[in-house]
Amino acid sequence: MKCYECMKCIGVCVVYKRVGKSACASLLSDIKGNGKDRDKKYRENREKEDIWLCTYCRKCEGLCERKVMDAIVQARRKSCLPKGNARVLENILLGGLAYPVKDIEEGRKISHLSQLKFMNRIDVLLGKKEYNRLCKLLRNSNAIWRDE
Amino acid sequence: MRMKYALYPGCIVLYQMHEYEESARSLLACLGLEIKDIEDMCCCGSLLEDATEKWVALPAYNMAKVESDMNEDTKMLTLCGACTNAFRRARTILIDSKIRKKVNNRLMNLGLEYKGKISILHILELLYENRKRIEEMRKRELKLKCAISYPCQVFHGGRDGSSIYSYKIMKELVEITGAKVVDYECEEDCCGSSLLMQDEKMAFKIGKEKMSSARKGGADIMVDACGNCHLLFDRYGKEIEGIPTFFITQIIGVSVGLDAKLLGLKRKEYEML
Repeated sequence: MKCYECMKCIGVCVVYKRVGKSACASLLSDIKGNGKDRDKKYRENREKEDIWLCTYCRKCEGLCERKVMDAIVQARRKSCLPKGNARVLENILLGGLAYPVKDIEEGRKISHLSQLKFMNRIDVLLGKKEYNRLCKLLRNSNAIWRDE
Repeated sequence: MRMKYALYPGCIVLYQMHEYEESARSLLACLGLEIKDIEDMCCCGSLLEDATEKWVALPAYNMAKVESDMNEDTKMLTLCGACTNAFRRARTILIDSKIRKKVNNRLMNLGLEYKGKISILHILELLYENRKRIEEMRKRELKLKCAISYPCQVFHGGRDGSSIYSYKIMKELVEITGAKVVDYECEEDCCGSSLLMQDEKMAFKIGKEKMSSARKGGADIMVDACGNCHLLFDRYGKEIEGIPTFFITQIIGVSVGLDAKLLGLKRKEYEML
């Protein structure tokens, strides 16, 4: 990412506003810090896990000419999945939805809502190779993974 | 041609925000809008985006399913911000013929083809398009002071085909009920709910700040229109010292005279409104 360092993303970022660090700020620091002591505050934000500090509200997206959201997504794909994301990924790969289908069906029954049908052939949608890569990624993320 | 709406509730609504789905179905039926269920749907793909560039196959599948099972007079109706944004961005990505061809090769295995004809509408937008009807049907004037929390991803997204409307349509909709919408400092801030997956404490901090700001603005209740926002505001209401939170479909539902049960409201909640 060739960032212009205009800081507009940080200016509208609610996470940065509340906790002083964020995914967009961590990307900026990679460029701005450049291994030198240029700005202490940005250097402090260089921890890799900061890339997950984004709510995806997308307010910065329309302001950034250098596609900051794409840069965040790319960096996340290279990073280790946090446990919460790994759990969701596991559910999607197994049942096609972010929550276990069995729990969804049970909950709808209790609420007297009509039962709906879901599709779980995520392997077909992603392709076998990519599906298997994601399964491997999950195992490496120490997620609770069940081989079926 | 009478428009129909294919309801895509989204994972979180299917799983635990049943009052949102119930109130949306009841309200739209009351407004005379025809809702259809999507058979064999799957995740919108937004939660896969962080792991794979092939995530776009999921929204493409859901949209292709609607295109295949329903007529051209059908729009896809979403309830949450993330799903809305995922479908809209996927539509933009799939304009690229190379990507579309690759995705369609996969969909072919399921007997489907994405044609790019379906359009996406969030429930706020659909209600706004029917605001005159809501106004005509109003039976009760709500006397509350409301803070609104709009679903960010419906209205933001830069070049990726975001809504033609401003988030201010939500304010107009709440005002139709007679309720007063208060201004508050953190009104435009994201709720922070999606951080619950990565860092609960941080999500609570952001949510707490928003709630505190709404309270300072004089709000009696918070109104939202997204399952994810509601997860933090309502299900974790205690942790963020929140004020009572309702879905916009419940607020409007009450004002047009729908019964508590049809709106997924407990008697106590209904009386509060």
